[in-house]
Amino acid sequence: MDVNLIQVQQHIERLYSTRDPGEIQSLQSVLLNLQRQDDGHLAKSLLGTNSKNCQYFGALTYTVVINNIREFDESHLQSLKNDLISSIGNNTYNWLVIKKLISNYCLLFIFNYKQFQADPINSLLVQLTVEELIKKEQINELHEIMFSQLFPYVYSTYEHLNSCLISSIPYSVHILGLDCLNSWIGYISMSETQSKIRYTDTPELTRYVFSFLEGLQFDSSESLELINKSVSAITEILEVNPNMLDFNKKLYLKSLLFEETKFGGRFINEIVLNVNVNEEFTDEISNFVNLCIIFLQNGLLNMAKHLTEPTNRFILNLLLKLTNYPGIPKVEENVSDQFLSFWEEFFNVFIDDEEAFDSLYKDENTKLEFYSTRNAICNEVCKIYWEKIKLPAPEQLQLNRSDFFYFKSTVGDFFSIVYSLLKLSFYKDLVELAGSKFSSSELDLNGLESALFILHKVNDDSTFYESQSNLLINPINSLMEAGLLKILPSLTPAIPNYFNFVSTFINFISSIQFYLKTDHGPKYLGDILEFLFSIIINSKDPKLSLTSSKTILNICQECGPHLVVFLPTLKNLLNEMIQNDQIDNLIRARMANSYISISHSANLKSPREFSSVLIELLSVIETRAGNLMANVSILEEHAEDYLISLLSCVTEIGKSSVLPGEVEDLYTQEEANAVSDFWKNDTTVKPLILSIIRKYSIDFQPFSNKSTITEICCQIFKTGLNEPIHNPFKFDLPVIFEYLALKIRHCDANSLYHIFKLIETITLTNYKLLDELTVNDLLTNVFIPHFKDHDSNSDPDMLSSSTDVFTSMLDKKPSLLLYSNVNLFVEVLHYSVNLFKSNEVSIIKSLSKFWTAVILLKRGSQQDQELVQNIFQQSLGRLLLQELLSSFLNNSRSSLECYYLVFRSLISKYQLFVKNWLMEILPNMNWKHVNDHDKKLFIDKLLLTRGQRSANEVLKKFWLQVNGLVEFNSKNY
Amino acid sequence: MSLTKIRLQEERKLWRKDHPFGFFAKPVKTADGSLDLTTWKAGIPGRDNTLWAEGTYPVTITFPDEYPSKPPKVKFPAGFYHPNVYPSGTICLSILNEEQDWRPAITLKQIVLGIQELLGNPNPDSPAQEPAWRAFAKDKVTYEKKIKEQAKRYVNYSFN
Repeated sequence: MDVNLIQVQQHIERLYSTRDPGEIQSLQSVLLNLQRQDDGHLAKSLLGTNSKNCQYFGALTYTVVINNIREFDESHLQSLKNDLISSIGNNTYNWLVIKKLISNYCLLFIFNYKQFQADPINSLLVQLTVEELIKKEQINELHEIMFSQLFPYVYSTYEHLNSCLISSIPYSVHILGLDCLNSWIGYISMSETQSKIRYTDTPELTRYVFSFLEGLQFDSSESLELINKSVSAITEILEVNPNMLDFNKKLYLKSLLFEETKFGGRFINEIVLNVNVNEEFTDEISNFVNLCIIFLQNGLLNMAKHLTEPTNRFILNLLLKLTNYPGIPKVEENVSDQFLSFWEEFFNVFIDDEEAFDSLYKDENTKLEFYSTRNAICNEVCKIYWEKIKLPAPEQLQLNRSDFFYFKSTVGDFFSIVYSLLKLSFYKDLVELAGSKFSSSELDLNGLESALFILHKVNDDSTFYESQSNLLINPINSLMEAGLLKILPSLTPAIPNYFNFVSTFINFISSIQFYLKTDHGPKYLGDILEFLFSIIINSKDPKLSLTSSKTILNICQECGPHLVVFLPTLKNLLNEMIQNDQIDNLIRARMANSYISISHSANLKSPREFSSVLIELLSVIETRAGNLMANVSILEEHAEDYLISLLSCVTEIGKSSVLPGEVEDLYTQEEANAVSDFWKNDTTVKPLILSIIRKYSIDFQPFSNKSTITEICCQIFKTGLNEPIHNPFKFDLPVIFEYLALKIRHCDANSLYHIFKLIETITLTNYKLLDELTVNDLLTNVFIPHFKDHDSNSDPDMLSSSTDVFTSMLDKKPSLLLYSNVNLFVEVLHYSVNLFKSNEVSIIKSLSKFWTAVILLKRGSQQDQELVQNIFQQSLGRLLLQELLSSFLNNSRSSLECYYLVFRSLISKYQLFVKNWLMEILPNMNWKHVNDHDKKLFIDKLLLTRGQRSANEVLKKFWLQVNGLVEFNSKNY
Repeated sequence: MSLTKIRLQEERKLWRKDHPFGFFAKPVKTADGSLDLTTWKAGIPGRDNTLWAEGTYPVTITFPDEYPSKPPKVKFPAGFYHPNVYPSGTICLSILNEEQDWRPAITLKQIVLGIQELLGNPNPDSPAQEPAWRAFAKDKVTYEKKIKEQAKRYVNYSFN
C-alpha cells in the first residue's frame, strides 16, 4: 500500500489535539479507511515512529488488520507474529501500547489457533486471551485447545503461586494473578455453556483466591486491595460458576465469612463498623456485603428452615448489625439498601412456602420457637428500616434526593411483604408506633412521617377487597382516636421537609378512605378537609395542590353523605375558584365534581333541592363565562384555557350527577319514578345547560369553530345518556339532534368526529328510542351534506367515524339504516365502496367493520336480509369485491389483517356470486408475477375455504405473489 | 406448580432484584390476602424532560394461562390519551402481540420499559384511538396540551 507516512502522522497528531467535532469526524474517516486497507505495513511503520500517539495508533491499526483479515496465510501470519513479538519486547513503548500489542497477539491466536504451535505464553497473555475470547462467540474446537493447552499452564502457575508464601511474591504479581483468575472464572462459565468441556477439578484456583482471606491483615492499602480482588473473584464464582466450590469449600467459605475470629468477623469489626476507617473503604465494604448476600442467597431456604440453630442466629444477628450500618441511606451509605433485597427475598421464602413451614414442625413448642424467632427477626429488620427512611435534614437530603426517595419507596414495598407475613399483629404494631410519635409530650414528626408512610404503603397494597380493608378499620380508628389530626396545626411551612411531610400525610389520608366512609369517619372529615383545602389554597407546590385535590375528590365521592355539613365551605371555595383564573384548571374541575358529588348524595331523593344547587352553580359558571366572552376582543391562550376549564366544570357536574349505584339499591320504585318524573319535566336545569352549550359552541364566535369545545359539549351530552332514569343531564334525543343539526352548520371538519362519536354512543345506548324517521332526518341533515363534500382523500377521521355510526346502527337495529330511506341507504353503500380507495388504516378498519355488518346483518330480519341481498346481487356485490380486492392488493403487508373478515363474510354469504364476480374481475387486473393460471388457482383455493379462517392464508399468499414478495416466518428466530 | 406460575415467580424475583428507577410493579392481593400472580399493578413514570415527565401512569398487567407462550395484556385506565392505546386502555405494542414481536424470553422489565418508550414515541402506523392519533398527526399543539393535562392527573409525589 502506498501511503504518505508523514501525512498520516500529521493526521494522527491532529486527531489527538483538535477539539473540533467536524474535523475529528473527518480525520477518523480518512484514517479508518487507511487502516482498513492495511495488511500490517502501515501499523509497523507507525510503531517505528517516535510519537507516542502514532505508536498507539499503530497498535490500534494492527487490531483493525487482524479483525479484517482474520485467517491469515502461513507466511503472512508468521511475519505478523514476528512483528508483534518483537514490538512487545521493545522497551521504548508505553504500557498502553504494549497491552494493545499483546491483545493483538491474542486476537491473532484466536483467529488462527490451528496454525499456532505451543507458544511460551505468559500468564498475562493467557488472561488477555480469555478476555478477548469472552467477547466473541467461539467454536467448540477452540474451547478444547484452551482447555488442553492453555489451562494446564495457567493451573500450574497457580500451583506454583500457592506453594509460596503470599509475602514472598511481589504485590503486582498477585494483582495480575487475581485479575487473570477473574477473567478465567468468566471464561470457564462461558466455555462450559458453549462446549462440552468441563473444568471439574480446579482446587488450586480456589485455594489461591481463598489464601488472601486467610492470611492477610487489614494493615495496608495493598493488603486490602488484594482482599478486595479476592472477594470480587469469589463473588464471581458464586454468581457465574458456583460448581467450582464443592460442599466442603462452601462450608469453609461460610466459616471464613461468618465466624467472629475469621476473616469476615474481623473485617466487620475492623473495617465495616470502624467509624475511623469505614468511609475510606466504601467500595471494599460494598463488595464484602455483596459477597455475604450472594453466598446466603444460594441457601436461603435452608437457612429459613433452620432459623433457630445457633449458627444461623449468629449469622442473622451479624446481618442485622450490617443492615443497621450507620449513616443516611443513599446519601452516606449503601449497605442498608444492598441488604433490602436480601431481606425481601428471605421473608418471601416464608410466604412462598408457608404451608411447608407449617407442616415442618410436629412439636408445638419447636413450632412456637420457630415462629417467634422469625417474627422477632422481622420486627428487628423493620425497626432498622423504619429508622432508615426517616427524612434527614434538608441540606443532607439535597445531596441525593431522588435516590433516597426511591430507597424509601422500596422500603415501603418491603413492609407490604412483611405485612403479608405477620398480618394484623404487625399492622397494630405499626399503628402503635405511629401513635407513640405524637401522643407523648414531645412530637416526633420525623418518626411519625416514617410510620404514616409505611401505613399508607401497606394500606394501598391491602385494601382493594372489603374483606381485607375491614381488618384494618379498628387499628386505624385507634390511631385517629389517639389524636392524629391534632398534629395538623404543627404542620407549618417552617418545619424542615414540610412538603414531604404534607405529601405523606395526604397520601396516608387518601389510603384510609375505607375507614373514613364508615361510621367512625365523619367526626374527622372536617379537620381533614380543612387541611386539604388549605393545601390547595396556600401551597406553593403545584404537585401538592394536585395531590390534595385528588384526595378531596376521592373523599367526596366515597363519603358524600357524611359531608353535607361542609357544603357551605366547599361552595364558597368553588365559587372563588370559578372566579379566579389563576387556579389550576384540573383542580377547579375536581372541586366542581366534589361539590356536586356531596350535594347529589345528600339530595338523592330530593331532586328539587339538588336542582337548586345545580341552578346556582351553573348560573355562576354561565355568568362568569358570559362576562368574559362579552369583554374579550382577542382571546389569549390563558383566557381561552380558563374559559374552556369553566365548560369542563359542567362536564364534571354531569359526571357527578349520575346515580352512585344501582337504581334498586338507592330507591323504591315510587321514589325512582318520582325522581325520574321530576327530571323529565325539568324546565330549569336542562335549559341552563343547553344555554351554556349554545353560548360556547355556537354563539361565541372564537369558539364556534373549535373542535375542543365541540368535544366537551358532546361529552356533556354523553354524561346522562346511559342513566337508567331521567336526570339533569339526560336530554331527550330530539333535543340533542336538534342541537347537532344546528352545530353541524357551525363547525370545522375536526368537530365532525366528535359529533359522529356522540351519535354512535346514542345509537349504542339508546337505539330502542330511535326510529327510522329520526335517522332519516339525521342522514339528510348531518351525513349526506358531508358525503357530498368529502371523498376518500378527505379527513380520514371524519370518514371513519361516520362509517362507525352506520356500523353501530347495523349492529344494534339494522332497520334504522335500511328503511329510513332506501335511496339514502344505497347512497351510503356506494359512498362506502368508494372509500376503499383510501389507504388509511383507520378508514380501512372502520370499513371492514361496516361491510361485515352489512353482509352478515346479525340482527336483521328475513326482510332485511332479502333487501340487502337484492342490492348486492344487482351490482353492488361485484363493485364491492372489485374495490375490496384492489385496495387489499395495493395496501401494505401490515394492513392485510383489516381486510380478511370482509372477504370471508362475502365468501360465506355469497359463495357462488363471489366466484362469478372474481371470474369477471380478475381477467381485467394484470400483474407481472401472476398469470391466468395463478388467478384461476386463487379463485379455486379461496372458494374452497368457504369463508373459514384458512381464507386468510390464501389471500395473503396471493397478495405476496401479486407484489412479487416472499413469505417470511416471523416465528423463525 | 404450573409453568406459568413458576415463570411469574421468577419474574417477581427478577423484578425485586433489578427494576428501573421510578417504576413499580407488584401482584395484586386476592380477597383472602394472598398474592394473585396473574394480575399485577404497575406504574410507569414518564421520562424526564418529556411531556410525560410529571406523571406515573398506572397499568394493569394480566398474564394468561398460556404465559409465557402468550404475552400478557397490559392496560392503562380506560380513556387513556395516547395514539397507541385503545379506548378500553389496552396498549397496542408489537412486543405485546403474539402475532408480532412477543417472545417468551421478554421480561417484565423489558415490557414496562417498552411502554415507557412508547409514551414519548408513539407509533403513527398503529392507531388505536382516533382523538390522540389524529391530534398527534395533525395538531401537535392540542396533542401536547392534552398530554400535559393528563400528566397532571397522574402526578406522583413519591420520588421528589
